Amino acid sequence: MSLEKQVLEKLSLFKDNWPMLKNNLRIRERKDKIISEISLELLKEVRKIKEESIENLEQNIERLRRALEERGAELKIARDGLEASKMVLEVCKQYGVKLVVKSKSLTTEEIELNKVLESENIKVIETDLGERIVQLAGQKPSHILGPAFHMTRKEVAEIFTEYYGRPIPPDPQQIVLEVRREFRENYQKAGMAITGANFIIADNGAMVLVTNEGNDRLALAFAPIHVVIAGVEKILSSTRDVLKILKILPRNATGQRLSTYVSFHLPTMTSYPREARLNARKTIYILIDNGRMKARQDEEIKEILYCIRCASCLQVCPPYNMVGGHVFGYIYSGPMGIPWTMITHGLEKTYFSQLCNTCGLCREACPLDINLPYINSIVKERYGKRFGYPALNKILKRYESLITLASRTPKLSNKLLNSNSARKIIEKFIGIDSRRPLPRFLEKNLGEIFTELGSPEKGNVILFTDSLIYYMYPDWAVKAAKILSSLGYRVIIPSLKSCGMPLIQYGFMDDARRIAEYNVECLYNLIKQGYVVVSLEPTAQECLTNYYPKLLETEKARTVAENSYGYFEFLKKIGWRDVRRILKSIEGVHVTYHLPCHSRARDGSIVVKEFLEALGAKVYFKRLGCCGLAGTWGMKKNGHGYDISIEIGRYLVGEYEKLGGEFIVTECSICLQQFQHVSTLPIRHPLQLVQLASIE
Amino acid sequence: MRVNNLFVEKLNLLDTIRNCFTKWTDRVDSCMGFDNLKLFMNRLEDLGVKTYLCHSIEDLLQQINSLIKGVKTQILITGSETEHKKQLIEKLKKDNQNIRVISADSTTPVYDVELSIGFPELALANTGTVIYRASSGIEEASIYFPEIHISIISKNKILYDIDDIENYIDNFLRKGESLYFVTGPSSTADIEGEIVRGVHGPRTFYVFIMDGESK
Ligand code: SF4
Ligand code: SF4
Repeated sequence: MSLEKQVLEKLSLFKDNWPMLKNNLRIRERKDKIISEISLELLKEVRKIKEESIENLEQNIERLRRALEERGAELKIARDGLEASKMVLEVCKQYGVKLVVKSKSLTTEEIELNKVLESENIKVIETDLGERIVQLAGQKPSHILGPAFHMTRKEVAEIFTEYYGRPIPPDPQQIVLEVRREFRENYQKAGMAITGANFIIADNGAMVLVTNEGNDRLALAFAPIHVVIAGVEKILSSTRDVLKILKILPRNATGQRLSTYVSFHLPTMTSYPREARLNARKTIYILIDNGRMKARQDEEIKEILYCIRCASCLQVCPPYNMVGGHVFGYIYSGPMGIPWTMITHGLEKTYFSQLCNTCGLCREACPLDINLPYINSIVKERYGKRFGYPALNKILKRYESLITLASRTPKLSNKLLNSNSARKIIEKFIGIDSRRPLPRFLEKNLGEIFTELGSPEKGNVILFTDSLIYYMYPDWAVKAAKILSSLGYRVIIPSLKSCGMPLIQYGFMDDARRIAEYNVECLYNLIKQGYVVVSLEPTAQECLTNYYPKLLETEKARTVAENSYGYFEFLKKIGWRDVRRILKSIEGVHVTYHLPCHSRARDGSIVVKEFLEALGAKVYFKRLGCCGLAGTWGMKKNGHGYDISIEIGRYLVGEYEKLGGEFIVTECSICLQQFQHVSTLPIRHPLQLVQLASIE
Repeated sequence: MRVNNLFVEKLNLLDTIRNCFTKWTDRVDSCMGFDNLKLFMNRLEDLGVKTYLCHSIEDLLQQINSLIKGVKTQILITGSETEHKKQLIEKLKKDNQNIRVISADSTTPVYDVELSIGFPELALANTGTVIYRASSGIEEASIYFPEIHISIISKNKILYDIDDIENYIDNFLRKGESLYFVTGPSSTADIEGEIVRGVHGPRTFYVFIMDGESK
């Protein structure tokens, strides 16, 4: 089934229930309370631990091998999934194992171990409840921590009713009671336990297992043979490293200070004595490469190996939350699923990466500060270069030329954009969904109404606007410039190219690099003359500070990044007191503020809220997610963009409309368009709410 | 979690100050023993664990007796060798035939056991965790298999947080003993995110804290 069809199918299945989103929101609410207990210092320390562990991987494997030899356990390294599965099969045959109990392990999902064992008539029972549910349903997990997050209690009850052959009520308490009984029998009968490992300590050979259910513990208490299967990147140097990571993993994963069961388990543990099996436990460590060692050498994506599988990125990813991991994923799902799929299952399985809209929320959420949006664009680039970019994206890549062309004849363009039949043709040939309203072109663009303003008493500012403001909302830029000039700055708007985000979004990195080079060159020269850059669009600022330095890796790009500010961030730097002096109060205005992704990704603070409050407004705010439009991404016809984008927007607006503001206010022109389309509340740019005190 | 440089610097400074301060006060509290106890009990209650502070072995016995009154199966006793454990076993055995003391090589079946009592090595106040060591499956099974589990720990074995125990862990692992951290009753949120207790391990979990000197 095409990706588009899969998306549409899931959207209609999940409509208004949004099970993935709601499960993830529940976790986020729990997390909010204790995530602040983690210091930035600790996050940096953990990142360093992971960097070093990947750097020293070969040495750590050898140290681990020695530690395990001393403890009488075997260490095998499997090149790929098939080799690992064969190793397990061999052990099963050698010991006549017919029943295996398995504790949740993403790595065994990665290598699709169950299929291999079952094909040899070895029964595998998943003992994690979520895994058991999807196993019985014949599905793959849809979430790396909550494999059955996509199902309702009713669906789960139906699965167990069919399996047990008697009615099981749709009550999680009852379901748990039923499976508890069955699990307990299986633990005692199984000939082998297979577990993953969250970490393996090279110093002493202990594996560290982290669960909430305790299934791993019971599986291990009884089984005479234990096979632990993990990716090679799970090796850490010392106990200390594990303890540091444990301080952040459960807090980020589930909002717990520590998961219910954490084990430092040595292979010297004997199994529960059954007949003559006392002291007879055999432990085999199978560590899997499956692309990881190659990824270590791949500078552009290497940092994904630092991933500790906390699922924070899945919890916040807007498109993933709408369709779940069966569509937004292969076996690894969500944001981290894109690079992990490329590493472990090959580029050809990463087509779902088209669903990533580069909102950047995953990076904001990642405790390891892994630059997932950038890595995901690299994956899209590699996919496009090898298998061809999706046709729609190839057309939309030319958005800047399309806008420039249309802006030459604004009247005609507006007429066409309002005509149903013309929109149908545009949908067919350009790929912009005809249901998506488009903003109007103005008679005069910004370049035609503005050259420069003010005198440089306090400094010189380059106002970077991006295309949408340039052609469709030039008034905002003019007002923005007037405010800055009233504050003592000279403002210029040089001729720059659009920021290039759509190119990055679709993985056209060479084109994006060319744009970055052009803009950086212009801006750098002006910065050298004493200018600072102030971006009116959050996305433009995101490109300047995050993407250009990554794309170009030059000193010039870094200098530009260091001298760039978001517009409201710059006002804050000047000081709210001065801003209040020149702008009229907006006391009595009640607004609901939407924080655009690229504003939050940048500095974690809520500057526009502060701006509005400084001027006396009452601001209602809830930290939610992406508006769903994300540039041209949410304009694309059908399931590829429009439908999923609208679903994201509908959820958001539903929440905002409950908050109590008279308007929704946001500083991103893209978010603004989305809300105009899906909300009944009026939508405003913050600059539309304010007036210079000197006027009138 | 990405933040720009200026912001990072500011936060880092605040963080360092906060950390120094909290670390210092936590350590002082930890030496005093008082606040760790309070914190430990609060955290356990948040996790749905019933806690009791016992001032003497008689006190403990009375509490335990009231819990085991209705238990018809064997009662397993496992964990660290402490004076409290010895005394409790002695006293319980006097009027209860069903007491089984578990050691690494016991062969007692655990399948039908309703309740077990364990003596952890350590506890962590900030996370509400008890830590057991075990070197055999039977020791493990006696903690995880019964429906009800009671942990008994001396007040002065409660440390503040996971950072404080690196050396302890390494010492145990060096001796070939595995360590198991238990933080609350077994739980799952796999069905619609609703938290349900006891999918695998104990459904009910009690922690008794012995006030007074470590034995
Ligand atoms: S950038 Fe946004 S859409 Fe893309 S993977 Fe990250 S959270 Fe999801
Ligand atoms: S990429 Fe980051 S947020 Fe996502 S699972 Fe890995 S560590 Fe967690």
